Amino acid sequence: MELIVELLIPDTTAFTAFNTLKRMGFDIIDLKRADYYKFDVKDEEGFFERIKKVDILVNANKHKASDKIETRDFIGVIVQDMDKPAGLLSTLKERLGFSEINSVEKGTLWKIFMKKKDVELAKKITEALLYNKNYQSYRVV
Amino acid sequence: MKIAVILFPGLNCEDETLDSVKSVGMDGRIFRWNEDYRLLSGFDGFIIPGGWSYEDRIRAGAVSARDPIMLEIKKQAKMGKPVLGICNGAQVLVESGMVLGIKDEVEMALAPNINPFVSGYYCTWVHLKLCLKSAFTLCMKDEVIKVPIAHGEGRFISTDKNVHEHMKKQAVFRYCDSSGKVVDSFPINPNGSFFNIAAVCNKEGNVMAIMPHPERANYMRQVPSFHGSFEEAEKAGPGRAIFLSMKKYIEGERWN
Repeated sequence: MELIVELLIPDTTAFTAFNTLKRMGFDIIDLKRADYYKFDVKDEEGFFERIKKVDILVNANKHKASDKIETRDFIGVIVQDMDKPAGLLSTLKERLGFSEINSVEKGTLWKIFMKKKDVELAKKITEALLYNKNYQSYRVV
Repeated sequence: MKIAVILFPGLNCEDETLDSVKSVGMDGRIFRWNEDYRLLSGFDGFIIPGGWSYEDRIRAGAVSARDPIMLEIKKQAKMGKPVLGICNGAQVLVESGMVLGIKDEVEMALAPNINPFVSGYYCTWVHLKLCLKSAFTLCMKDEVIKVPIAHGEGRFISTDKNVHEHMKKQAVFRYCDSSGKVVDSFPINPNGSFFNIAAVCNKEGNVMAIMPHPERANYMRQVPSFHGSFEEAEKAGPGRAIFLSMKKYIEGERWN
């Protein structure tokens, strides 16, 4: 089960990353960003509706949440720290009562909009700015 | 002798860093990131202070490291001028590849702290053991100094085992206990840094990335355990030797 959390308000981090990439010479149309979570849960039924109502991960005043990545218009890159997210699992299980969660992954989904979708260019962009190979990993989706 | 204290948007330690520069008899000024970078050639050394440049967007130091002004600072460093990065400034130097400076690419990371009790930002005083002479330690003998840290991403790390050897050789300061013993566990190593590294330099020794804040230990009055007169409070604190060493280096003193 995946959870994609995007800002409804302007995302200054995405703007800065986009401007930096343009300055570095990368020819892209736009760049957007979302928080990415992947849950291993015992029973998925109703999980998405319940988890998105908890203000820890999704704040309905400024976020929208979805349970799948639709990559029709962009190339998606998920960047994740190699270390497990500290404290998130225990917060969800122990404080918020999501006992059905076995494990959780966290990362950043970068949506790279190009004139023509080019996976190799997306990898170059990621390696040039969006991740540091010494503590992070990435995958194209 | 003029030092440029580089100000990226979001840095917040520029005033005390400039004060530290002036306290050892050097001149300098705050140099904004969007000034004409060609003016940098008129300076004798550079310091990137602490703070949150570009709000730590993407990763700490990642955007500043790719700012056009860094190309000129790299050029000046290759001429032998000293470049000191403190805390966020250290993150900028690591993300720019200026340290370790082996392959002119990003060879390390300053990753999120690993700390058994505190997730994220952590602030305390630590002991550092001097391990290597460099442009920033010329005035220091084998000694232990006490300085503060304040960061969330201070863990020097690399996935490349060849780089590990360079990190060990180029480590300038390592986290230790008050006697100088290096212990690789919390709280002596406050962030899980590889080899207990608190500061590391390039192979030439004129560029150093240091996570602790020497400018916050530049006067005795800044040291929590200090008790003394007003006059004694204004005397040099344990961090000042780093700025004094930078001055001696610019004057031509070397460690070999």
